[in-house]
Amino acid sequence: MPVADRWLLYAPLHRVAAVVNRAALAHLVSAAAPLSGNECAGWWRLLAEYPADLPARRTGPPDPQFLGLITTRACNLSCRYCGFGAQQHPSPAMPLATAVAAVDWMANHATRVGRPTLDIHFFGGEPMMAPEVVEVAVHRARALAAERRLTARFEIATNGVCGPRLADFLGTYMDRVVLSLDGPRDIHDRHRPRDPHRGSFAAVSRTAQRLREAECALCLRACVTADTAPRLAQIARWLCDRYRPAAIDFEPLQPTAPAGDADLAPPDPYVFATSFLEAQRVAADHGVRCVYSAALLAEPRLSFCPVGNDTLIVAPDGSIRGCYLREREWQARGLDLRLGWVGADGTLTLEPSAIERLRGSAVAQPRCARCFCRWSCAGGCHVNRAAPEAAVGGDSFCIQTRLISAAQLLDQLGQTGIAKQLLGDRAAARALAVRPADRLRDWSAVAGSMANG
Amino acid sequence: MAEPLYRLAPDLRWAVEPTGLILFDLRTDRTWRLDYPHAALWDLLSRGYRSDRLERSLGAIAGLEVRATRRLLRETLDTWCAEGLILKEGSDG
Repeated sequence: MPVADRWLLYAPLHRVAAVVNRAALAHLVSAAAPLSGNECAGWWRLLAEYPADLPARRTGPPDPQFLGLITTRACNLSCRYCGFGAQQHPSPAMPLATAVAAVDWMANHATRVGRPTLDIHFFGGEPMMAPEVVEVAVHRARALAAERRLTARFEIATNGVCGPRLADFLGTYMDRVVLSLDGPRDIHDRHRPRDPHRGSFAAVSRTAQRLREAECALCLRACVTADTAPRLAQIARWLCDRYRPAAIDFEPLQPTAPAGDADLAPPDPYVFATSFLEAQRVAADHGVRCVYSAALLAEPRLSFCPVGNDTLIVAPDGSIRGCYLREREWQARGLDLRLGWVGADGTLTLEPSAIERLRGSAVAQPRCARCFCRWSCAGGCHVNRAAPEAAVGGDSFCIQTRLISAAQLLDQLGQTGIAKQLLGDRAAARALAVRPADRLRDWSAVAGSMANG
Repeated sequence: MAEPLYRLAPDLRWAVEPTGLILFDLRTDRTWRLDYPHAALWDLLSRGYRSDRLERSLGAIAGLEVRATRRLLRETLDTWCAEGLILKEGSDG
């Protein structure tokens, strides 16, 4: 990719990134090996080898990395951008027997395949609206783990409005708590009220303070709107100073009907990318990791989310699926993400054809074939990105993901100056963001002119 | 008949470990190790749940039928009372 007067070369499957000049790029495009003694020779040889750990479609019996429990779809907040409609559609809690059956299956599976850990994640609605399900699942899993010499690990995504005793339970037993906190009181209460007359900031902040003192890793997740995007660096500094989190996750608002009604709009992708990178540097100065989920570059992946990774997500009604979202959302996109069910007798049934269907959906993302982010963003959310308006390359998701990914690579290469220059020049940023093809072979048409230039 | 409520003895502190938890008596320096399912019961008691909730959760965690759960609950609470780990306090009903 062209960055300033250089090129950013990135081979994600080889874990190679470099900023090269015109001559080096021309050499690569012409497929000529660099002269011996050339400093490029080492990585040239590396690039010529087949990647050692190419992510591949899963095969064989289902092997989930973790079990997800949606303990309830109910929620105690009325977030203005929420499309789940939890308060409008009250949902019962998962029966304890369902949670126990799912935990038992996962413990048996871990034992059978020799996995050393028993990993369970909790989602909602608000999962702590069904605290008994969480408590029972945690203790059942810990009891089985102790018996079988497994390490039980727990993660929860929560809004934090649960009171001090349950907050302490989370701090004690969860390994990672993902707490939704959109920023200081003015922002958070505007986005995430309990009801039209009462904000949730005070309660969430108290929970965050308790979790700060606990042993769990606290990850603060903030939803970013058009109004808050320019303030990300300031928000990151405030979150780091006040709550000392292990990580901050900034995610742009997904457009929903309620968000539109509340006058909340997604951020401009160029503004989001620029502000996110500033926030990431601020957080790094505090020793805090700051992430945007579509631009995680450390490990190549085939799927953005649990879909296709054999992950079992158990809904309150005992249905098992590969996705946390409500069934009607996948169905609206023509997707079927069901995997099986937990029966009334406590048996867990998985449909082999469904497992294979989801594995297949994680592989085929033809629109991403020529994008340098294909192994990191992996096409994004299978449901939201299946929308007809999710065009190749030119939409907000792709723009912000490509810009942030490229700038992070430049930062890692010690080229922060080039990253800032790139994002400070809208025309250059746009040229990178909407490039239809990044593969080296796609440059062959210009190779001759570059070599001669 | 109404079930008694329990509270934890004031001088007790505890630490959660992978296989259960350890109790410390700050006054006497005594320690107790609780494995599962007793460790779960201690955690539930520490949040002040009433007996019906304790019984339901403990039964699910330990995989016991109602009668066996009640017996386990009664025996454990009696033992902890005798050891001075918990104190009886009024009734549920």
